Amino acid sequence: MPSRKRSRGEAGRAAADVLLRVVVPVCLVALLGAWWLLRSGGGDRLVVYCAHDSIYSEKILRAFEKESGIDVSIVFDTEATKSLGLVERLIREKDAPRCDVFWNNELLGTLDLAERGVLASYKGPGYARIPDAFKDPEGRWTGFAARMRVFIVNTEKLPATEEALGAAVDSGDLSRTAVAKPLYGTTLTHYAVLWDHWGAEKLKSWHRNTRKRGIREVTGNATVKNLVAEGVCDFGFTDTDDFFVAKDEGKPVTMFPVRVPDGSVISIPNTVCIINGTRRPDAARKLVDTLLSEETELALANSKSRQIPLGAVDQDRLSADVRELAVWARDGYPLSSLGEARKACLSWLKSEYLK
Amino acid sequence: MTLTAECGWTLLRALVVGAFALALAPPVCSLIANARRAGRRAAWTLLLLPYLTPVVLVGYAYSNFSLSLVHHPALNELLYAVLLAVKLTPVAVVVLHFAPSGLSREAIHCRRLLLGVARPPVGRARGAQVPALQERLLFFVHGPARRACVAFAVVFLFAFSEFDMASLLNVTTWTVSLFDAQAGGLPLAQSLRLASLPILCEAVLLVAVLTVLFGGTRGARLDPERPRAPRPGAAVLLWLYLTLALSLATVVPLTVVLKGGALGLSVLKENPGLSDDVGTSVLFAGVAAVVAYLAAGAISRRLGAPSRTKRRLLAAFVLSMPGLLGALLLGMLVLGLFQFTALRAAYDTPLPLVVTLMLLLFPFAVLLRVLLHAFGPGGGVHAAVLLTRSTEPGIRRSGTALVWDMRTRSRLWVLILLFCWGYFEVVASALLAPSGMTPIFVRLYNLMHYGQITGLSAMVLAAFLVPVVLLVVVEAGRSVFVGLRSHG
Repeated sequence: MPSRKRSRGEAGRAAADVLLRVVVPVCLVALLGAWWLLRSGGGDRLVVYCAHDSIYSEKILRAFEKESGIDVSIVFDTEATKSLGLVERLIREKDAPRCDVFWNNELLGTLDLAERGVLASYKGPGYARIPDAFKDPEGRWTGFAARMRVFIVNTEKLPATEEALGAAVDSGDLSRTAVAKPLYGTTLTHYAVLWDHWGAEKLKSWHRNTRKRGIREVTGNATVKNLVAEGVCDFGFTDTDDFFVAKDEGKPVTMFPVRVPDGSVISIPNTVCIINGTRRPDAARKLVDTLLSEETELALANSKSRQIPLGAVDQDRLSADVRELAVWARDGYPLSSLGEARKACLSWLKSEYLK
Repeated sequence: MTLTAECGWTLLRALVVGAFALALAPPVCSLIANARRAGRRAAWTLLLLPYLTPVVLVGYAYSNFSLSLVHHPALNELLYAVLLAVKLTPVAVVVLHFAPSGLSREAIHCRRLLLGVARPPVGRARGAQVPALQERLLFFVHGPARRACVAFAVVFLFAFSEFDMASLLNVTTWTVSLFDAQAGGLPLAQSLRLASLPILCEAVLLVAVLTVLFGGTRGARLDPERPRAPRPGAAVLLWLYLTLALSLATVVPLTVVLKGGALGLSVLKENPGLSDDVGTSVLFAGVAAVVAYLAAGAISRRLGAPSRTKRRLLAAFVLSMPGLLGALLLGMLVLGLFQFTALRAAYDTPLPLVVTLMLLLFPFAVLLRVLLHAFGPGGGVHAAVLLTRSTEPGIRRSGTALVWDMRTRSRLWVLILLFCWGYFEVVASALLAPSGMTPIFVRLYNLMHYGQITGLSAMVLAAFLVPVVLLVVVEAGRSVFVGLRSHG
């Protein structure tokens, strides 16, 4: 009797060992596989690479998912390397694309993709409502919902006047001024504009001079905003969406548009494009039209990021903040011809920073 | 600063952190060894909690403070170095406390006897002293220096390859620059070329350490000599240090998160995707932890066997090496591997990330399993197992409860520890997660760069509940285990 009990007990323990060593890992792997199939829809979901801030873009994409019944998988960028990470990823994946729609938060990276043949052409109803200055004549990309490069100024540290700001910018000491690393995002666009306007040598000299004067280079525009909002720096270069985060938090900040010497401002649209070789062209087009619709532009304009609508929208549905921005944005520097400038500028910046 | 200069700066910082940890570890070891049971338990808790507090949490908590130091880069550097040292000193203590000594007590005694006979007379010719110096050096390398070397090397490797906290604290390190370069579009081959210098540094150190580790006397066991107790004044200072370390690396970060988290709990309702991301992380970490645990079990059993061979040690080394390179380098290597045509079909699947996490966890899994093997109450467990075979239900039940307390619980804790490391991992997950499956800490890490907002704190808090729930389940699982096994 005891021996039978023992053998039964030993069998139980052997079964437990098998459970631990085989069944548990196999079940976990199966669960992970099932979860992946569910999340990727067995490769049937619309894959969207999104460089726009997830806190603003995800709501819009989920709303599209709900309304259209099209499942969407979103890949967001890392905040520290905004947009450039996804652009490079798309270039790498060119021969075997897994992305269907790219929602970029700027234009110049998109121009690079268009030039490399990564983007497909599409001119739908959304394309039609956007002015020509903000879209590709061949329909490979379309701009919408812009934001602007601005100076964010801490009003407790610096008088809230353009004169005071101008004096601070021209001063010999920029150690209380913050800027994001120009390798990425809208700071790169800012540099590309100056490269185009000034020429390479003047930009290089300006860049070296600002660094020599002690400008604080940080990881992103949000960090610039934090530094100025907390009074650690007096002013900095950032985007309107980041400025409004600080303003909404009640921080003592104001903003002035960054103007190129010819007086124009740097207004940077989001861009949307379909990837060449997409497996779901119909769904991709539907999403592109949704993003380029008046409703989406209004939603982004009325979100905390206050994006500037580029197409015609009902002005009564815009806040005073956005209406003011829209007036400034009329003097926007033309960006759609800056592809070469961006490429040359980025190549130089890489040689400066990534040695 | 060029990447080479950043690499040099990171190396210097890692050396300083390693030296700090190594200086502090022996007195902490002696404090622990000489404390009474309750004191020892308290000391271990105070010591280990800073290490177990996720790096991302610490970086997040101090990111605002770090911003305020933007005009004082030296102070920011100091803050980062202090946090690193506080988090990594426990590693040095654990290695010193648990790693086997290279020389047995008998060998040390024999050496003393030999030295007593063969000590060269004072004033002897210089050339004749050389063998004595060599002997002393050899003794130092195989004796006291052996564990110290290993402790220093492990701390150094952690400090040298750290990324998450450096990125959140805006500190200059080669890892941050390399990650930026890679994300910024540098071709993989070029990124790897840039990484060759740090890889070389790590490889040289690894080879040196493994030579010391495996080149020691065979069969040497744990040093049975208890270190001398620290003087009362020193003991007070050590307790003070342990409390301060806990405050810096655990209490402050938790306070920041809990404070903001309580205010922003409503944000969780607005982010239903959060639970999907948590689920993704749980599955990735679960698979990687279980497979690494089982693989490490197989290897550690073989390493512990008397018939161990150099081939097995080599296998352990080869399998551990990728993980010890750190998440960034390993992630980049795996990314490159899955871009080859032959593996491209698996590029957008969970496979690359699972493989990477497994390789990252493997060396720690081996270490933990070897420690379990070395310190587990082997005889006691055997006796308890015998009790479970009793025909008396009461005795069987007691035996099963003992098996749980002495063996199963510690194994589950090891598994949970491995799970947590996988769950909190950011860099490899950011590089390799397939589309539609964003691990929770990748999302949170991105949000952390916006600065501290209450909603984010609530999300961080929610994500941290998972390991806590697991621990509670494990502790509550005792009665279920006992019930099931005693009726088996």
